[in-house]
Amino acid sequence: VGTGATSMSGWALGAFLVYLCVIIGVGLAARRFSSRGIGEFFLGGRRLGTFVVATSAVVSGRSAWLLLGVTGMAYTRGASAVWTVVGYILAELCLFAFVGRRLRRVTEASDDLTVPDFFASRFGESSMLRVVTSVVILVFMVAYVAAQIRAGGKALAASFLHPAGYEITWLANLPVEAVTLGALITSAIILAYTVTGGYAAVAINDAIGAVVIIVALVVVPVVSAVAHPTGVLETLSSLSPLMLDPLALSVGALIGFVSIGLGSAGNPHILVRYMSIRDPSGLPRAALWGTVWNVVMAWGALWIGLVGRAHFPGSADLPGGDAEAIYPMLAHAHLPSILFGLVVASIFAAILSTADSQLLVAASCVVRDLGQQTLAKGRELSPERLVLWSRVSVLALLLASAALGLVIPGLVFTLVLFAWAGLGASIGPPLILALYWRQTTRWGVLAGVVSGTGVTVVWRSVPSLSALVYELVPAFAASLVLTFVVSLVTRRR
Amino acid sequence: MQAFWVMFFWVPLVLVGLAALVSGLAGRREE
Repeated sequence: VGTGATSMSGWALGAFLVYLCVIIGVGLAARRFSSRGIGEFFLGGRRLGTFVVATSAVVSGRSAWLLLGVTGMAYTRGASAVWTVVGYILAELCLFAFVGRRLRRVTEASDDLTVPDFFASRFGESSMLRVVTSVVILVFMVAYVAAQIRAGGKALAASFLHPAGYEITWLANLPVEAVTLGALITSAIILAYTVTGGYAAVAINDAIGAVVIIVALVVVPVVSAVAHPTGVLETLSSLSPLMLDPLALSVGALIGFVSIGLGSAGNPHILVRYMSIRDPSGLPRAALWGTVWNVVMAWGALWIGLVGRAHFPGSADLPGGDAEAIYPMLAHAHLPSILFGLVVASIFAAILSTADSQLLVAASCVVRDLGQQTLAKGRELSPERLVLWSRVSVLALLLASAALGLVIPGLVFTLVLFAWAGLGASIGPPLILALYWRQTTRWGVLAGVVSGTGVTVVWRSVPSLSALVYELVPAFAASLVLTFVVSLVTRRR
Repeated sequence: MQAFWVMFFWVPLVLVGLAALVSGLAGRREE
């Protein structure tokens, strides 16, 4: 593998660099819009088209978890990994078609830019609710971005900095650890277009990334399956019949996998996508685009894991025995170098599309909610100054996330699923009830936010509980019940 | 093997079909 690829690795790097030039160019081009004010910087002035919103929403939600985590899980577990994708696809279909439209209309009417903004205009200004919600979003978002940066470092290191022989030698010889260098490069790329171009650049780059991802996730399993000397399914069946049994999992695992979908409604980097569409009547069409994208990406990732297992049956065949390396490994073994560059770009696109969106959401909490509406409340602030604060906040949050990303031990996706659960449980139920149930109160929402966060953290940190079921399930239930009950108790009669 | 093809062929197809249906219905309600 090493010798053949070394001569072609310049092509792979070339393809990857073309992708980087495009996304950084988009950031620079969007600069003049993003500088007009924070409505432009954080929400693109609510002028984005249907396709951009649809693809941006689904790829921002997936991240490297789909490309490295789900492929790795399908490699390890076989067909039963399919349940990890069913729940979120259905949930996001409903979000596009119903919840998103309502959220878009309500938030435009009161000029809300953030989720805490929406709660404030729905229930009247409350510093406590605004600050608590913002801090919860901020903490989980920084952890989430840290995981993405770490994943970016791992992906770059494995693709171009790996000492096995297909590296770009001059980069590998730099006196810094490969993953650290990869993480720093990832951070610099995110910074280059997010600070300059703001939301419009981020959403357009997400859409470009979505095309790169879908092409790669279709090409890799098809080419690799064709290249396999015997039937892929026969090979898997001979390894273990359970590899082809979608029901080879415990009830707790099944519930946990499907309930990943509960998180979509509470992750603000997905919710702001719906808020940014130019014409809300385009959201039903976005539902179809988004679902097609979600389905092709998901089953592409699952097939990569299955075909990968047929090619590399023992985990000893993978670098460091890491199942999360199966996607680049399989691509590297079967694709010409220029297409391998596309695969590396797809992993990056997934990482960037999530991290950039989350950085903006976190920065919007700092500038809009904690700054403009809390600490500087009542003061007149110029749009230029607010945009400057926003750019500085993005930079500061990226530095904090990168620092955290460099010290995270172990697997990246444990942290991703934890942050996904925390946001999903703390924001999802209060937001849906606030949108659809008139009796919801500010105290109910506060109870939901606090209990969703608390149960996620406690459930995760008690091993016997977290072994039982994914923390999102009890945390979402607690948040839903408490938002409802506390609203009933505190409503005006 | 039957369950495998249900989950790896029919379910993705049904999800796209469902999206087309929901998208159509929600779009009509919008008008």
